[in-house]
Amino acid sequence: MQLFLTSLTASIILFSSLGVVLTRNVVHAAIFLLVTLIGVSALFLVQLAEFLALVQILIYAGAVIIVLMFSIMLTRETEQTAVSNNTGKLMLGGVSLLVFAGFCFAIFMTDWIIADYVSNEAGRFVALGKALFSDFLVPFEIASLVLLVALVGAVILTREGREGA
Amino acid sequence: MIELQILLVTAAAVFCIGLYGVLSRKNAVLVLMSVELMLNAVNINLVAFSRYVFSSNVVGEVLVVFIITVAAAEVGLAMAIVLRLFRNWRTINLDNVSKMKN
Amino acid sequence: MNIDDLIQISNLAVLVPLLPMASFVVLTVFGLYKKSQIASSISIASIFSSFIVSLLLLASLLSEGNVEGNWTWMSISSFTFNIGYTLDPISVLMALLVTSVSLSVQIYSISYMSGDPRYGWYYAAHSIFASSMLALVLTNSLLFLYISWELVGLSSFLLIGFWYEKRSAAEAAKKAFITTRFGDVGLLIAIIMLYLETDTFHIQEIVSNLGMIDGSKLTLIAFLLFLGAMGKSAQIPFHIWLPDAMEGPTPVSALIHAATMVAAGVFLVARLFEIFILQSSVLWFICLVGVSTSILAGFMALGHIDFKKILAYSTVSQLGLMFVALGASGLGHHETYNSPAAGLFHLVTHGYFKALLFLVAGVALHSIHKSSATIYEVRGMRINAPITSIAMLIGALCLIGIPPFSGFFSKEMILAAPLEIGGVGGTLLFLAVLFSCFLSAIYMTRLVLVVVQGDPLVDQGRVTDPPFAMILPIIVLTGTSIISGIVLVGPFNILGFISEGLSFHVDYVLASLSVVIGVGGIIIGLICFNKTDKLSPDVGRYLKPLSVWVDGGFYFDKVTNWMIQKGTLAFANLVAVFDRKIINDLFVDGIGMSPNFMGGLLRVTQTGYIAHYVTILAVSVVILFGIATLA
Repeated sequence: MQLFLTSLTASIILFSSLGVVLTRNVVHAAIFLLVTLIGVSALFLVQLAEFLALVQILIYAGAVIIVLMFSIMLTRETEQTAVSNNTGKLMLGGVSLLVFAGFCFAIFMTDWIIADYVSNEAGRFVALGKALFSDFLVPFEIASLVLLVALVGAVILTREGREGA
Repeated sequence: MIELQILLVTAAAVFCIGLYGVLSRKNAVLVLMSVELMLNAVNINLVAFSRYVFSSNVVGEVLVVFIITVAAAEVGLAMAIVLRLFRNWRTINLDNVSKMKN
Repeated sequence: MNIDDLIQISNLAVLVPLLPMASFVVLTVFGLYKKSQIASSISIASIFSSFIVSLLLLASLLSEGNVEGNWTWMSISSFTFNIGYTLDPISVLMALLVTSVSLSVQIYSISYMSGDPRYGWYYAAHSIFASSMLALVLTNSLLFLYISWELVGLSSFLLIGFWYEKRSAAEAAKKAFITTRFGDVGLLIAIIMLYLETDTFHIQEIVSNLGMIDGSKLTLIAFLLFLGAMGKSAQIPFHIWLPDAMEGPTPVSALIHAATMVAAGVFLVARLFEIFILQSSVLWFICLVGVSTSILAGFMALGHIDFKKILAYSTVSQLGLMFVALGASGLGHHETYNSPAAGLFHLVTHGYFKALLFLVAGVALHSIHKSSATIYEVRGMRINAPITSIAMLIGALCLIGIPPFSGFFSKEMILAAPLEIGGVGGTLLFLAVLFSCFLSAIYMTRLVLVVVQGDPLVDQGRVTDPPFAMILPIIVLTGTSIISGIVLVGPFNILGFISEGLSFHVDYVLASLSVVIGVGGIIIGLICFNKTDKLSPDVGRYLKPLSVWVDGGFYFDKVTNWMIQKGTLAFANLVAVFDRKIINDLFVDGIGMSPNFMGGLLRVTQTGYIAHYVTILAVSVVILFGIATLA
């Protein structure tokens, strides 16, 4: 059952992500991305990472996609072709396939040692929360600082009237 | 066992698809979307390892949290840059924006 | 060393240079040079004592033969430097020459320099000059010889630049010092090489160890030694300092030209004659330099009208003849002349009559209160200065080589030397020497004619016979000029004195030839310069192109200046180019340019297309991944 769900979500992710890079319409691409992100979220859920699934929905499907949609609308980019010439497209596809082949080689040549899944009563939620606020407290705070800086930076970058000054 | 490999191959595939998108797309927003795909591929990988290989702790998932955080910040900044770019150049086609100065 | 050794009469030799040195020290250190009378008294007393001691040394030498004294000067680990004197014919002869000429000149200077603000200092400088020259001739160590050699240069610098307020005098002093320096470097290198080869500075030991040195090195050493002699003795191309040295007081010129400075070079070659004797290439070079110097200087003497410059060029010319004598004596196959006797003989006789001539010139200049004058300014000397005129005539006859005056004998020996070589070279050399004698006869005739004859210029003071203190040295020197030749060849036998077993023999053909040449020169001089201020029109026409050259001093000064200026400039340019191209362009700018250049190379990769960057990134990752996996 889990294998089936995993395969299903995985195939959804694959097809929709292909859609992201292959569609000519920017808005379609955004929709495909949304599908992909939700698929990833579902995959997390299937793999018992409930908190991450939640975060994925909230941040990616919520915030990121909205921001992307806004920028698409604000820039009104008319160009819809992905790559102008087929030779270049094939070459880049070759490069990507090469990388993929490398990954697959690594994945199938590695002798994975599967650990037993430990599920305590409190679940992954509690363990994650404890880890975030104990072992990873400093990175966590820094991450909040990063967000703050990004926020300020974004505001300054998009502010009107100072260009060329 | 097989599930781990399905996840890893899926992640690798998504990563390469994202790579292809980054390489082939001219539109800055689409490039960003491809970057998001790559980030998600990494997240899938991390979750898979956290689930099947290093299941005794939650480090993988913590890392995913950070990656999502950084990705959010990145998208925010990148969109600001894209808007700025568009205002200065009237385009967000990256091939047309190959110089530091306008 | 026990007491008996110390009281040897020969050990008085150390007093000869020490007395004038003591005089110098007393005068300078105790400030006595400010008190004119005391200064001159001390100085003259010391040089007079040296002269007496030199006579005693001569007596000692004649009775006891060659003697030398040797003391350890300093001993530094394995190096031991000895200091000592050597009493042999050459050194005693030179000591006598130096002391007697110095004594005459110093007595003469009492009234010549009276009233000069630095009268005392003049005597102090004279003392150190005499002292260093005496040390030079008496020492048995090359190291000490070199020290004295440099001291001679220093003292000549002090005396030539005695009137240093005059820019030309200061320049002349510098010129003399720097020009001789070029030769000194050669001498120093030669001395060092000799020390390295033989491990000693002792001249006799070096000479006896000459077999240890291989031929080519010995040739080089001989050449370098001669280079030093060329500088000091004003041989072409180093002769340029001597005429300028006329800027000093006239008695100083007498000293420099007769006994001290220029004699040092000839003395050096004579002293180290054994080193030269087998180096035929160097000996030929010496002859060539000597003869060309002699002839060119003869022409220059003919062309100049400045009294002292004529005498100066005549000195250069005679020094050239001395070197010819030395070189040819070394080359001669006949053993009679395989000794430095001929050159030394001429050095001695020339020392006396040239000192005499300069003192006469001093009288003339002193009378008209000038430090230099043309020969036309001092005309009519015979009227009010009969004694001086006669002295001058005798000096000139000595120089021309008319018997029985001293120059005749020494020139006869010089003429004989090239004939001993034989062959074409020897004959040519002989003819050249003959021509030089002929030239000297002409220019001396001209000098005497113009100066003694004629009427004095109205607006100039007349040349009068000087006071006793000045006329006495002139008379004494006239006497020595007359007799030194006869005495040295006759009763004294300088040849046998310097090289045992030899005796002077007059070659009557040669003697008459020399006399004929001298008289011929006189007659031509009389024809050309009688009753005319300048060259007579006929001769003048032929000599005109020559006179242009002569006026320019054969352009040696110009060429030297040009060489120094251009050479310095060329070197400076080279350095400048080096600085600009290598230091600035290559290193300074190059350091700046290299990042620029590298940046230019790397810039090719910076297309500005993000896709390119990412592609490169991806490919790099794959490659690194592959490497990591395979490894």
